[in-house]
Amino acid sequence: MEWQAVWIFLHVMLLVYWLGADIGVFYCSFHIRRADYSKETRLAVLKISGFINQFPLAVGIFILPVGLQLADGLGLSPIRDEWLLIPWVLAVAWFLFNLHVAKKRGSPAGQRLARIDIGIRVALILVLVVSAIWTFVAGEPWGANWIALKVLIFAYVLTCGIGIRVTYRNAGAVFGKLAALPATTPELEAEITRLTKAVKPWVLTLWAGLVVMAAVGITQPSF
Amino acid sequence: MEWQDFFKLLHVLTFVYWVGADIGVFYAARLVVNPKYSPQTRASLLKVLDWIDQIPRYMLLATFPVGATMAANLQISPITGFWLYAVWIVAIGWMWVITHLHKHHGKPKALAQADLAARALLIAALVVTGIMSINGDGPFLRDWLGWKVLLFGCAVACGFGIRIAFKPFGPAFAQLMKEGSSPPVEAAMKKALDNAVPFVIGIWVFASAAAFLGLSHERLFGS
Repeated sequence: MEWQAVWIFLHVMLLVYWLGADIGVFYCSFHIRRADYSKETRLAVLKISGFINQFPLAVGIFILPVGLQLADGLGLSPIRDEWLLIPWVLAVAWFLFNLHVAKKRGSPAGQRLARIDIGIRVALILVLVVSAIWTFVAGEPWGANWIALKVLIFAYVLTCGIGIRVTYRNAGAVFGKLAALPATTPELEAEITRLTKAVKPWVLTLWAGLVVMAAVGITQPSF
Repeated sequence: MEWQDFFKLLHVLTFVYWVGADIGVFYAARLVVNPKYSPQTRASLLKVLDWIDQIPRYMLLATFPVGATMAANLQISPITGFWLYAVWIVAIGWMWVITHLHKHHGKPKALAQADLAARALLIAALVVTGIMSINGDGPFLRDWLGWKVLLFGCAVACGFGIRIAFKPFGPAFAQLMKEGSSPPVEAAMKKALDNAVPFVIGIWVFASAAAFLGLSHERLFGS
């Protein structure tokens, strides 16, 4: 069995269910803010959007251990052999934690858990940025600058993810109001429009980051 | 970035948006046949679904000229020079056709039938040339490319299967909008969708298998 082939394939499949799935979420957002739709329709579109969005959320976690496997296969990762079990265990734990956060969304406990999740992301971003810059400066821990560049861009993608979370932090309450009120109000519509518009720059720049990461992975530039 | 790398990135992205966007279509379709929702909501959801579904439709048509260009650059395909330009022109023209059909709800009927007939021809050409190439009789000069062409042909055939299986959905949905929900109408819509599911999964499997070969042919086939 050629494991590197499997990891490359999995790495691309994760991009499929991140970038490819996300277009559906993006398109749904245009329909969610359509005040001419019935409440039932908008909530159904929200349901579709919520379902699709689970894929990018999961993929954003598992793409890192899969990438580490690939880098190890190329001999370019500082995390090798049985040590790779650690990122896998952490990724699974983080994924389960995220499921729990999603379950508790809207409650005070959920807000606290969401803040912890953002804290984990910030810590990870710091580790990724420092390790990438250190590689550019000292040639380690990553075995090639192009891997370090991918790591740096991934940190940027995670930052965009935090931007989305922070911008959308009141979305649960806003859409909850839409579901609860007998009829929509101009204030609520303004808030829905503001939210769905404010999140777009983060989403678009996140996509750009993913495409650039794919381009770096394909070209593997030496510099 | 070299041109071949650029096309490699495009090829990956066509796969990403083909299979990735499909997940939204798949889920939205389930809500469209859910009798819990009003006909108006289901009509709106069908519009959302139909738009997201355009992305995989475009990607299916775009992936072939991109792949053909890559194969031409590797000098393992007979589609070069004028014929490669012709493939691009036909693909772009075909995209215009599906845009027109999308905008005009499958009208004119003659154009929709021509689209279906062209797909049948494409499937036959892909399957025949794929099998011939695997047997070493060309026109494609590598086994793995023969397999890719064959798998792509199978994916396009599944798309064809969806159109056939889903055909009873249109009249049943029109009846839903005209006369409201009734057990026979709901059953007809659900049956059409259920019949299409194996073809949808077939597309994912064949397209993913083709991607697997494309990503790892050097490791698996040594060329």
